[in-house]
Amino acid sequence: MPGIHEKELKRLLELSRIGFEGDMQEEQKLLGELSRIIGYFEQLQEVDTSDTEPLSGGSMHVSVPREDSTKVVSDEERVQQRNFISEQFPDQEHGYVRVPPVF
Amino acid sequence: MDIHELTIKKFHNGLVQKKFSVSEVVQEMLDCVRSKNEVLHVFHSVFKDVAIERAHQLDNALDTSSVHPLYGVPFAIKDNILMQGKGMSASSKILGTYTSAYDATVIRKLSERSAVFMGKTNLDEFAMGSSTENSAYGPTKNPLDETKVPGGSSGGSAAAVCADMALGALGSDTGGSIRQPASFCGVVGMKPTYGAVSRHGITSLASSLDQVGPFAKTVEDAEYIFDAITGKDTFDATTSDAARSFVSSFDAEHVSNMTIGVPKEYFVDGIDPDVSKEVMGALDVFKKHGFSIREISLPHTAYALACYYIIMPAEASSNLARYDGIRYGTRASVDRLADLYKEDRKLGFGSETIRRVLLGTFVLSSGYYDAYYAKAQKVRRKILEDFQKAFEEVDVIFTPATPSKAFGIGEKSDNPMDMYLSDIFTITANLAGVPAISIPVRDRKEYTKEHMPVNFQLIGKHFHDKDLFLVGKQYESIVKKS
Repeated sequence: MPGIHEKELKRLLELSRIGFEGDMQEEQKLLGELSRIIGYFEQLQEVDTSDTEPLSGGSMHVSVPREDSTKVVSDEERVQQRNFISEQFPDQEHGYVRVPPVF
Repeated sequence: MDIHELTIKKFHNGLVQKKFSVSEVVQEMLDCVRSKNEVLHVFHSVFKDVAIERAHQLDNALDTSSVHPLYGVPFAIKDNILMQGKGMSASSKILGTYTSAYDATVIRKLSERSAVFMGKTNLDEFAMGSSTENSAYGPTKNPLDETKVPGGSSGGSAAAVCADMALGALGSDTGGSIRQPASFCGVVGMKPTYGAVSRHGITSLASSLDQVGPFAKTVEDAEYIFDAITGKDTFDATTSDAARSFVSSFDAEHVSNMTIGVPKEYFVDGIDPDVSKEVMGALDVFKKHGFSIREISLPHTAYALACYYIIMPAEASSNLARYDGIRYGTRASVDRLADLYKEDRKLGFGSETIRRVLLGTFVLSSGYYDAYYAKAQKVRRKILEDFQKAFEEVDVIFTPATPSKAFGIGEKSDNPMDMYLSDIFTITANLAGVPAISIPVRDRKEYTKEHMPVNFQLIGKHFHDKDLFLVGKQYESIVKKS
């Protein structure tokens, strides 16, 4: 039967780094919704695509080159740009992002 | 000067003839925002002081001998488009107080043409939705009937133009997110050919489907905006000048030489009878004015929704992987790094976003990739081929824009599939990359709470965007009340 099971859902949550531990009712609801949507996808199997290449992009461009040149940025501007970005880090020290330990 | 009567064209003429100033119009629209925004929730942020200051600058610098059509025009900008120094929320909690580091190319282009930015509008979170109810900051209400949705995901932008809070707006369209809210609010909304407008500075949802496009009160106005934003951009390798440099085989006097194709698969049961009646009325207008109408077939139409809801979430799950609270946005307080990602995303993403990220992860994951994603990509090519074949016989394709009029707030929030079905007529244009425009059947002045808007849609050949405006303007001149 098409659709997904609880174990599958846990795998997907792990892969997409979304925490859902301990919320059983929500998890069941999500499971139902996803299964219904995935069930809807089955109809694509009706289409004969044996001679069809996949279409992956929106654009028909192939390689889009640019001039092999660099833009010269003043040191002041570079510092300004970097500060603008690092000031947005939720937790930072001397312009470096600080995060909780891996272990 | 009544802002309800104003269009970009009339505003431009009024400025040149010195009937009013930029400041007067901007002030009146800001007053409108002040009185209605709390109820309608169109804007997240209003740039009141900046807009007034800019308006004064433009009034002082105005040289009536040479005025760009967009000079001084008040614009509403969907809050998934970056404006340097301004917040960008994508209507999500996860971005917190993120401030944009740069201007999107479309913003730079409008700035260069002296547009005035009124503020950032509400949207469905990360542009995922068809009603603006998925906004983490509350839904926008349809200005014509506050119990109804304005459509989505660009509901705020559509509502801004409808409610006279701006004369033009920018939205983004991945599966209909400009064209459907345009229909629900009775304004014009257009999705350019994929690649006609730069996506640099637009929060990515599905990179092979997203396009930025205009909202306006008239097709003529929408074209001014399109002309300003279209063009190749070194920051976006998928862009092209082809739409900008396109020369139509039809001129304004001989527009009715065009053949209009009507795909039978778009006129099936399940469409609201009122919508059917109105849309057929629009088709009659074309018939009576000399256009040849031909029935065509786009045989893979029925598979488009499944195809779209595999491909879009797949690309979205990739594009949204960057939202993790590490470099910007809100961050939870946890002990381990792995938990940080999980907590941030669980708390920061809304339920529709989580649903689509999981769906995308599923269809791309090992064991399922071939059955779903690879299959959907092949069906996508079939859909493109349907259009290519049809366009050998016809010049534009005519369809309804949406299967219903604006539905009630809360009406479709229980069943995701129900919500997805409101996109059935719009998604094919994104899958094929072709341009499409959503135009009100009647003059906007006829639309009220009792007679909610209905739009029809025209779909064109790749990079023949200007042909859509040509036909649309012709239609407009026929149905316009003075």
